[in-house]
Order: sequence, then structure tokens, then C-alpha cells
Amino acid sequence: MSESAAMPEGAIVLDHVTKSYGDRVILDDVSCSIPSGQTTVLLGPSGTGKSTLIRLAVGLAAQEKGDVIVLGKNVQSLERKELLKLRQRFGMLFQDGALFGSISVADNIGFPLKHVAKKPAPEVDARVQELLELVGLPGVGGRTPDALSGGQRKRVALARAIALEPEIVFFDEPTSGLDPQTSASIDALINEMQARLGLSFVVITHDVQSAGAIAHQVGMLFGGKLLAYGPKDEVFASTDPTVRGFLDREPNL
Amino acid sequence: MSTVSLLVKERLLDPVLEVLSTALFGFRALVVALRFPYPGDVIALLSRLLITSIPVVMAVAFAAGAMLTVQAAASLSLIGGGPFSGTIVGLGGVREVFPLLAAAAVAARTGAEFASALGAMRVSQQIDALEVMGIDPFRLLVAPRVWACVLGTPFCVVVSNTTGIVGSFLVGVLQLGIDRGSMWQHLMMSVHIGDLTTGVFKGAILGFLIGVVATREGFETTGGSKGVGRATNRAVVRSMIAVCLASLMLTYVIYGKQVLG
Amino acid sequence: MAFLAEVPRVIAFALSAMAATLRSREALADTAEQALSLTRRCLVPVALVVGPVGAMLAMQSLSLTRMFGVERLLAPLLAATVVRELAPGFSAVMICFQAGAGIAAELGTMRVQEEIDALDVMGLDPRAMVAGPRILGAAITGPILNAVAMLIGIFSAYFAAVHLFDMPQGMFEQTMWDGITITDLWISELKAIVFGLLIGSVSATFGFFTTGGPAGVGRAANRTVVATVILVLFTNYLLNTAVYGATGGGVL
Ligand SMILES: Nc1ncnc2c1ncn2[C@@H]1O[C@H](COP(=O)(O)OP(=O)(O)OP(=O)(O)O)[C@@H](O)[C@H]1O
Ligand SMILES: [Mg+2]
Repeated sequence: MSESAAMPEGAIVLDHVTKSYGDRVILDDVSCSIPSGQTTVLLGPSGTGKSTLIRLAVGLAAQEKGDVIVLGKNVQSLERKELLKLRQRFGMLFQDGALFGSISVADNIGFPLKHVAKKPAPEVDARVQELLELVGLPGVGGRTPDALSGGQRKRVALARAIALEPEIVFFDEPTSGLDPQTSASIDALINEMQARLGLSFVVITHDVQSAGAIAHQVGMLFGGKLLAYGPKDEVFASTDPTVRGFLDREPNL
Repeated sequence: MSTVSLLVKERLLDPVLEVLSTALFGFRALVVALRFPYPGDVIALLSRLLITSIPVVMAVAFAAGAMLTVQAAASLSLIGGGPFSGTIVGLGGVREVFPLLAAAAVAARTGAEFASALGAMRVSQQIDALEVMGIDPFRLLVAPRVWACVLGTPFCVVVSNTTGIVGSFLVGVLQLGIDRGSMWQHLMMSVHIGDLTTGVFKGAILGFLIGVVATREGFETTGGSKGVGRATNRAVVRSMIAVCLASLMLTYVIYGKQVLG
Repeated sequence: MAFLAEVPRVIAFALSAMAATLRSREALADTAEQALSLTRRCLVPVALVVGPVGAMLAMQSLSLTRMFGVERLLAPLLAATVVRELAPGFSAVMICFQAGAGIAAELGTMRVQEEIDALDVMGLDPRAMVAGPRILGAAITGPILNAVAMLIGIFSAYFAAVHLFDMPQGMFEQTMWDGITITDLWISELKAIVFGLLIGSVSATFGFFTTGGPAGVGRAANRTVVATVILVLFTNYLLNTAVYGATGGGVL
């Protein structure tokens, strides 16, 4: 990755990162710098390691080689206490939501507000209502997550991820399982928040159209390698056959 | 050669490593638990423990007291039998059998519940979600459960002792026709107040072991919903092993070979 | 008790499930597999309860019989207690804890994840495929675990008496059979089969008809344990009183 060297100090920097499970190499010597204050979209076929890349960035998994630097800190070398502290500056939407099954939707969204920011209850309640309306789900706060549809759960998880307006928000497929209109509103929500608060977003998606709508930067993972990485227009204009095949939806099986 | 070394690894090394890593987990739990974080959670989990375990503890201890009495009385009939069954139940029951049954019930009921709850949270990435929020899942999930076990198990031991003695007394008096006063005297002759406080102390230690082993199995679950089932089962078996060994060891340390009070 | 109201449903469901299973070759093969896995799940807990209790009983009774100079009563007392009460009773309780809760949770999960409905839609009979093999499996597991429990109970009593408290080895071996007969062993095994059937039937029924999502699965498992423990202990008491009489049928 020659571009990465030229890129200034990023919110997240991957430096020659290699990650395997067993003897299967998932990420193979990946380097890039994800700029702060922008939306970076990761594209790539199913099973190439997009979620894995995010897990490395938040310190849920460890790479064998290379460094992952987030907000200026080397994630792998942090003490556990420091890591927990660093993570309080993150928000994350998990691919399957990871909502807490035993508490209500409202308590799920209020969780980081109450336990991380230690906000008083009335303030938490007000913010939760605001967030529920933001994701188009007013009035479901009292239900438990298993009484929601798949798409509704996703939106609740999104509300929880952005509740604290953290410096970096990771979205693992925020729009999968949603209808095109709701997807478009989520995209608009991401754009609006990004513009208003200048946060850094890292978004994994399979939806090329949605990537076009929100991305400043685009990275494409193929077979453990970052095949293309750079400003959206550059990547979308790429002539690399693999990249083109993905963007133009050519069958690959 | 390689099969031998594989066998050594599987049968010897792995179990030792498991025990060590559980001990480490227990140490971490102890350190975190000492800060006593969320009393609300502890109280909720504790009452849940008592609700699930107490009915079972009472049923099993009552039946155990009754069955030991009937058998002992029948066998001891030559030496004037009857009331001496009370001595056996009073001694062996209160010192070992009833506490062990109480701990087994807590291990099987609450241990399984803790392991499957944490296991389900692990495989659906709820624990990861906590981590990413910068919240220590150890403090939030493990510590209150260990506390609940440490506080709840002694209570179950007391209930177990009481119910066992009542079961023995009722069966002795009502079914075997033993004289009421004599039965009571023989039961109480062998039970000292010291045995009861020892039971509470023992219960707290057994509870700590159950809490640590069960939460550790749940916390370190891998392999989807199948893995949750495996972890739950392992939690029960392993916490029972821990409880059983510890119970025998404690009895030995406390009472030594001095058998009759 | 609310459980009593469910007795007819449990009986009807268990009978139909077992009948359906006995007619299907695959389901019978699955029964063997269930019996094996249930046995494996319960083996260690059974041993860990019966072993220490047997040893403790030996220690306490030994000092008592010694005091009265009737040490030769000890072995018969221990053997009879283990075979008639301890082994069948405690192995059944551990089966309730481990297998009963496990069966209810497994079937409950299949119910709430719509796996049972999926079988129904495929035109397969979920009673024969998932419920029956577990009920019959539990009935097979019962006597296996009881046999193990009898062995462990007597052996640990023997070990405690002879090796820890210096009872003459010959005395224990010679007098042990004064307390029990072969018939006692068979009665004990028969009881264990009955307990296994009861536990299997109740837990399979409670699990199969789980309602209320994941929380309902936990509830079903809990209800199962409480109901089966009480049921088994009560049945044990009734059977023993019927067979050995109210005073336990003097051993000597
Ligand atoms: N814990 C694990 N153990 C072993 N292999 C794993 C583990 N987690 C992920 N993998 C494998 O690593 C590869 C990358 O997984 P990852 O979840 O990062 O894919 P992804 O790009 O997010 O795919 P998708 O778009 O389908 O979500 C996959 O082949 C997956 O099977
Ligand atoms: Mg993924």
C-alpha cells in the first residue's frame, strides 16, 4: 500500500497487519490509514475478514504480526484498564446486534449512557427517547429485544452505538436486512451525524449503492488483501478486474 | 510415541492447565468482587438463586434425613436401635451430607443457570459489546454472580441442615414410633452450635467455588449454541467436583479424625 | 400443586411419544445415543454425591457401633442403606438435576427456535424423533447409574471403614451380605427404571410444550427440576414403604 505512507495521521492505522485463525490466513499483511472525521467504507465478499478487521481495531482479537494504532494508541500493547478507557471513546454496531437479551430496548440504548457516561436517570431517559425517534422506533422502548423484528433490532443496536456520540463509530453492516427506504434513511442519518459532529465512521457494508451515498474513503478487501483503498471516486473508477467485478455485480460462483 | 505424548497432554497437561486457569479466573473474580460493585444486581441474582434452589434443597434434605433414619434405625434395632439413628443423622448429616446436598443443588441449579446465561451472552457477542463500550464485563457480570453464590449457599446449607433434622425427627417419631423426647435428645446431642457456624463458613467457601467455576465456564464459551450446552454441562460437573473435594477437605481440616463430637 | 393438574397431559404425551418411538428404527437408534449421552452427563455428579455420603455414613456409624461393641452390624447397615435408599434415591436426584433440566432445555430450545414446527411441516413426527428417544433414554440411564452408584457407595463405605478407621477387612466382606439379598438389588434396579421413566416423561413434556421464548426455556427447566425431584423422592418413599414396610424391614 503505497498510498498509506502518504496519508497523514489517521484515526486508525494498520501497519502490516497479519491475522489468521488456525492455519487460515484471514488478513494478509494489510496496511492502511483510516482518516479521522470522515466516513470510511469497507467492501468485500462475505468471509474475507471485514468483521475481523474491526475486531482488531477495538481490541477484541489480536493480530500475529503488525500494529494496530487507534487514536494514537497501540491497541495490542495497552493494559486492560487503558484499553477499557480507550474503548469508551468508541461506539460499535455488531453485525448481529448483540443487544442484551435480558433488559428492555430502552435500557439497552441507555446502557452506555448510564454505565459509561454515568448520566442521571432523567437525562438518560430523555436521550433514549430522542434516539428511538432518530432511528424511527418511538414507543418500542418497553419491549425486550426478542419482541422486535430483525431490522428493528438492527436499528436499536445502531441507536445504542451512537448514544454517546463517540469519536469513532464502527458499523458492521448497518443496513443489511433493511428495506431500501429504511436503508436510505440510515445512510442519511450517518451523513447527518458525520457532518454535524465530525465523527469518524468505519462502515462495513455489502451495499454498493449505500457505500456511494456515505463514503469519503473506500477500501476493498479480497482474499485477505486490501486490493483498493482511497477516496471513493478513485476506487469507484478503478479498472482492476476484481474490483470492477464486485462493483458491477458480476456473478463469481 | 506421539500417541503417548498426546495422551499425556490430554489427560494430564490439559486438566492441570484448566485448573490453573480457573484458579486465575477465581483470583480475578475475588479481586474485582472485593470492590462490591452493584448491590442491586447481587440482590436480584441472590433471590433468584434462593428461589430456584431452596425448594429442591428442602425436598432432598428432608428425604435424606428420613431415609437415613429409617435405615439406621432398622439396622441398629439390636442395640435398642431407634433413637441412635438420630445420632447418626445429627452427626453425619449436619457435618457432611446435608451441606453437600445443598451445595450440589446450588451447583446443579444456579451453576447451570449462570453458565448458560453467560454462555449465551458470549456467543451472541453481548460480552464483546460490553468490552467495546469500555465496561469491564468481569465487574458487571462475574462479580455479582460470585457474590450471590457466596451469600446464597450458606443460607441453603442452613435450610438443608434444618430440614434434614426435621425430616429425621418426623419420620422417627411418626413412622417408627420412637419416643419424641428421646429422638430429639439424640439428634441434638450430636449437633453443636459450632457445627452450624462451621456449616455457614463451609457454605460460603463452596459457594465461592461454584460461582467461580460456573461463571468461568460460561464466560469462556466457544462454539455457538451447541457450545452453550457444553459449557452448562461442564459447569455443573466441574463445580460439583470442586465442591465435593473441598467439602471433604474442609471436613477433614475442621474435624480431623475426631468423629464423635 | 399446579403440577398435579398436568399429570394427565404428561402421561398422555409420554405414552404417545414412546409408542411412536418404538415403531421407528431410526428413533430407536437415537434412543441408544440419548441413553449414552445422558449417562455420560450424570455419571460424575452421581459418583460425587454417593461416594462422600457413603464414606461419611460409614465413619459416623462405625463410631456408634463401636461404642456398643456391635461393629459387625456396620457392613449390613451400610450395604442396606446404599442399595435400598442412597443409590437409587440420590442417583435419581442427580438425573433430575442434570438430565431432567437438560432434556427440558433442549426440547424447549427446539420449540422456541421453531425446530419442532419445522419437523412438523416436513411431515415428520417430532414426538417420535425428539421426545420419545429422550424418555426411553432416561429409563435406560436410570438403572445404569444406579448400578454404578451402588458400587461406588459400598466401595467408599468399605474404604472409609477398613482403610481409614481400621475395621477388620474380613469382617466387612463377610457380614455385608447379611444386609442385602440379590432380590434387593433387583428391586433397586427396578426402582431406578421407574424413576428414569418418570423423569424422562415429565422433562420431555415440559420441554416440548415450552412457551414464552428464551425466558420460557429457563422456566421450563426449573419447573422440571422441582417437579421431578419431589416426584422421585415421594415415589421412592412410597415404593420402599410398600416393599420393606414402615420400619424399613429390620436388616438382621
Ligand atoms: N473465531 C473464529 N475462528 C475461526 N475462524 C473464524 C473465526 N471468526 C471468523 N473466522 C473466519 O474468518 C473469516 C473472516 O471472517 P469475518 O467475520 O471477518 O468475515 P466478513 O468479511 O465480516 O464476512 P461477512 O460479510 O459474511 O460478515 C471467515 O472465513 C470466518 O469463517
Ligand atoms: Mg462480518
